[in-house]
Formats: sequence, structure tokens, C-alpha cells
Amino acid sequence: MRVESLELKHIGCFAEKHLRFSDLTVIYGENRTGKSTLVYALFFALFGKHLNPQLRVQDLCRKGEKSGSVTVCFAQNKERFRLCRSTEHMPSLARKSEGADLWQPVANDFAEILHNVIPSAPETASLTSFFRESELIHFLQDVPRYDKTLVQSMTGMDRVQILRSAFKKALGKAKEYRKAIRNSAPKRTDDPLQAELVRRQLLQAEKELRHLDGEYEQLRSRGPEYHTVYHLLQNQHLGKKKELAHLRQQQGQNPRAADLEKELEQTKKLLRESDTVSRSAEKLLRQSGALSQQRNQLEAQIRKFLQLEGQSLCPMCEQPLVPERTAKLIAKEEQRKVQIGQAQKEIESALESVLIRKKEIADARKRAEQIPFQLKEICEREARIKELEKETARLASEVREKEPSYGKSGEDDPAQKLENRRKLLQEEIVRCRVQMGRQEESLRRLEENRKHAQAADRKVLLCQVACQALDGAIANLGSRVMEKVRESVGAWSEHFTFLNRFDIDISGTELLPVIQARGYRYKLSQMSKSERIFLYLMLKLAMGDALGHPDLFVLDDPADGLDHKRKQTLAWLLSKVAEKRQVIVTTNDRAFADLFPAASRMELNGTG
Amino acid sequence: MTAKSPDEILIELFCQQVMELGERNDLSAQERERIVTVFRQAMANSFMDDQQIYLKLSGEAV
Repeated sequence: MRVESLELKHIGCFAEKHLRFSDLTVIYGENRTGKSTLVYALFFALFGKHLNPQLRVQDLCRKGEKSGSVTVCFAQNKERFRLCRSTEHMPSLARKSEGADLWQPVANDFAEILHNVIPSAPETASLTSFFRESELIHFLQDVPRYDKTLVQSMTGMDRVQILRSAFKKALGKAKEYRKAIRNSAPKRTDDPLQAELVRRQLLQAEKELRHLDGEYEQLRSRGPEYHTVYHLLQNQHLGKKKELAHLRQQQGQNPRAADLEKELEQTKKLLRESDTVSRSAEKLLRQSGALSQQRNQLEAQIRKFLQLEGQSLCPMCEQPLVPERTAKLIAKEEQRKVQIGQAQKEIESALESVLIRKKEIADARKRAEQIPFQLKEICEREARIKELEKETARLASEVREKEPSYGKSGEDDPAQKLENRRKLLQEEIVRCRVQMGRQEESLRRLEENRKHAQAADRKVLLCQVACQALDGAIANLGSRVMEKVRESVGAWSEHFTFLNRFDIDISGTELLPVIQARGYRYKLSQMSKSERIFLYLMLKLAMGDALGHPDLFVLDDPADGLDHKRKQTLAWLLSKVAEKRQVIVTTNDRAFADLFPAASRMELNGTG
Repeated sequence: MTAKSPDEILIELFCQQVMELGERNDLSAQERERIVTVFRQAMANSFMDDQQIYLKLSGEAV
């Protein structure tokens, strides 16, 4: 790639600026005239980022302007490209083939074409093709941190280190998972011997049970009376006994027949008095009615006498009335009334007792009707009891007759014996099956856990391989880059004759050079500034050869702090570099700028 | 501009390492490919964390 021109609009101190470049271009300007801005703008135009990673592209804009743009034209492989970038808008790319007059904008596959034209990453290009004094200070003071080598530090491998850490953590997770799986493994409590024993027990029990079933069937087929007639008789006997007991209980609760007969006699006697009582009741009622009539008449008489008491003549016969006689008559009538009342009360009490007696007779009549039924019931019950007693005795003797011989001699029932044994065997079979089921479940869980553990092992292995591969790749990357850098340092050292008195070597994985001179080993900080600048330039060029560069070497004020002789050396060196790459140098040192007679030269005066 | 970028070199070296280690540890071609794919994804996506890497490496996530 060869940069032909750069056009700036509202960038830094420039309102508008157009610059053209040759293979070796020197840009001279006093301080604050925009030299560094040009370098930043060129980097932004090519890579879309700020060269200083601590700044944003918006920081490139001219003061008071919202946005700025940079257009760079460059040639590559007989084609010319025009790349325009703005701090606010999307970039645009146009291409022109050799001999063509018009620019053809690139719309499709923009990113791919741009990557083909400028394949370097911004970080790599910053490291290999752009030189800033501030960067030099960083290089001189930087000490490799942790286990990061200087080459890793220079090639921006922090990201790779973070990635390495993430892979290691992923491995840790895989190991944690495996540990959890191992911890969750069921403990093996059953041993194979025990399992075999249980299996045999089960087979034995099943065999015995089959044998018992056969025996039981034989026993059942021996005769029906054993199980049916005997049990039928026994059941009948028990039923009759139960009924008898129930009837006897009823007999005990109800009155006896003799008592009932006595009660019936008394009732009949009472019923015989029934007519007499009825007659005396009627007589008493009649007497009571007559007395009531007499009393009413007396009361009417007394009322008449009382009316006559205040009168002097009788209203009937009109004869004179004597008050004393009238009073005597009233008293006499009152006395009779009292006597009648007493007689009436006596009759009423007599009537009451007669009525009670009459009610008793009515009750007795009812009872006289009931008692015969009760007596009949008692007779029937007694007859049934007698019958049941006979039947129970008969059944008892029959049951005794049908009773099997083992029952008489005190032997156990063989069927019962078989039944008991059968029950035991069935329980034994269930127990064995449960135990075997548990063992099978335990084995299944063990097998499942084993599979999970295998999968977890595989995950750990994959993570381990990934970590080891990344470690190896990082180490190899260092050594491979180092190897290339070492070769390139050897090639460039013939131009850097100024450093010839140092024996510069680079260790296997570390870019920090081993610097020896006259048998003395130097530290980097022990070298002079000019020596360090040259060393750094050489390493930068060598890194560019190792990692790739965009055929460009841009230096921002590299001669600062160098004496005239060193400036001459540097100018000569850069002219040598310009034979291999396009070189653009900015400086505020006119004498240094004058040391490039073959270079195209531009001067900045601080005006847009 | 012939040299490869550090990322490209790193990926290439990683692939070589995975092939060697995979052969030594009897990893299948699919597993080796999976590791390389996860690494490429992790290189391209700086937000991929250890959990995602673990899940992808173990094949639980694609």
C-alpha cells in the first residue's frame, strides 16, 4: 500500500487541508501547528480509530465543529482506493482501476474489500507502523506484568490473557460438576454374595410354595364331609345355641306364667264388681243432681227474703212484715243451704272414688284381654326352648360324631398347618423380592451415576485440552514471534550500526533484549536515550516484519532529544527504511528536516 | 504485508495444539472441532464468559 494523499476537513487545527505524500515525506512545523494531528488523522483514515487508545475519534474534531472527516487515497496492486471516514457517519470506499477516469464506489462487501486492502488490525498497525515519542516513554518504563511477556504486552495480548483466564475458570466449573456427580454417587451397601443369597432364598421359597400348593390340593380332594358337612353341622349347632340363648334371655326378662295367671284372677274379680260400681255411680249422680236443684231453690228463696227485708208490707198479701221474723227466715234458709252443700260435697267425693274404681275396672278389662296372649306366647316360647334344647343336644352329638380324628387326639389341623406355612413362605417371597428390587434399583442408580461421571470426566478432559492448547498456543505464539523478530533484528542490525557495540540478543520468550557491551550486561534503563530510541525503532521494524505492516512507517517527531550526529544517523536510517516502506516523518527541527535532501517536504504554519 | 496477524497465528497454533492433544487424549474429530469453534467464538466475542465457554465446550449449548 502506498499512501498518495490525505484530505482533512474540520480536523484538529485544520479547517481544510490537502497533503500529498511520496515514498519519503518530511513534514516540518513548529509546535502546535498540527503535526501530531496529521499522524492521528492518517491513522483514523486507515483504521477508523484514534491512535491514542485513551482518546475518542470525536476528539479529532476541530474546535466548535460537530464532526470532521478525513479522506485518504492510496494505491495497491495497480488499483487506487479512496477511503473517506467521518467522526459521525459511516465510512465510504471508492476504487479506480489503472487507466480508468472515474471512481467506482464500493457498496457491496465493503468490509471484506477493506479487510483485503488493509488487513492489519489497528493495534498491530499502531505497534509496527506508527512511532510516537509518548509510546517510547511507555516502552522504556514498561515492566512486564504478571506472567505476561513484553511481546504479549506489545502485541496487545491482554485480551488473550483474559480469554485464558476464562478457559481456566471453565475448567474449574467442569471439575466442580464432576465433584458434585461423584459426591452424589449412591453408596454401595449390597454385596454380590448377599444378592446371590437372597436370590437363592427366593427360588427355594417359590419351589416350596409350589410343593405346598400341591399338598393342599390333595388334602382338599380327600373328602367333602371334612370341610362341608362337619362345618355345616358345626354352624347349625352354633346357630341353634345362639337362638336358645336368646330365648332364655327373653324368658328371664318377661314375667312368669304363674304371676300372669294370678294377675288374671285378680282382674276377673275386679270385673265382677263392675255392675255394682256402675249402679252406685248412677245413684250418686242422681243424688248430686237433686241436691243441686234443692240448693238453687234455696238460693232463690233467700234472694226473695232479702228483697222483703227493707219493706213494711208483703207485696203478695199486703200484710205488715216483721223484720225480726224475716231475718230468722233468712238465717234458717242459709243454714239449710250449708247443710245441702256439705251433703253435696260428700256425694261428690264418693262419686270421685267410684269413678277411679271405674277406671281401674276399665284398665283391668284391657289387661284381661292382653294376659291370655302373653300366656300363649310364654307357652310357645317354652315349647321352642324345649325343642331347641333337644336339637342342640342332637347336633352336639352329631358334631362330636363327625369330628375328625386329629381334633380328638389333640393333633394340629394339617390344612391349617399347610396354610400357616404357606403364609410364611409368601411373606418370605415378598421380602426377598423387595430386597432384590432394592438391589436392582441401587445397581441402576450406580450405573446411571457411572454414566454421568463418565460424561463429567469427558467435559473435564475437553476443558483441560482447551486450556492446555491455549497455554501452548500462547507460548508458541511468543516463541514464533520471537523467532521472526530475532531474524528481522539480525537483518536490520546491519543498518543500525550505531548499536553495533551492543550484543543484542532476545531470549526465548521475552522481547526484553539482553544487552551486553564489553562484558557488561546493561539494563534497558542504563542505555542513553538515543540508544533506546534506535533500539526501539529497530524492534518496531522487526515486529512489523514479524506481525505484518501496511508498508508504511510514520514517525511523529522522532529526533527529539538527539544530537546532530544522531539526527544524521536517524535520517540516513529512515532513508534506508524508505527503500522498503513508505516513510512519513514529522518534526519541529528544521535542521533534522534538512537532513532529508531526497524527501518531499511540507511545512505547516498552523493555519487551515 | 504478508505476515499474519497475532490473532490468526494464535488460532492456527491453537488448532495445532488441539489436534496434538486431541490425538493424545483420544478426542473425536467432532470434539476437536468443537473446541476450535468455541475458541474462535471466544476470540471474536469478548463478552463470552467462562460459563458460556464451559457450556459450549461441554456441548450443553451450541
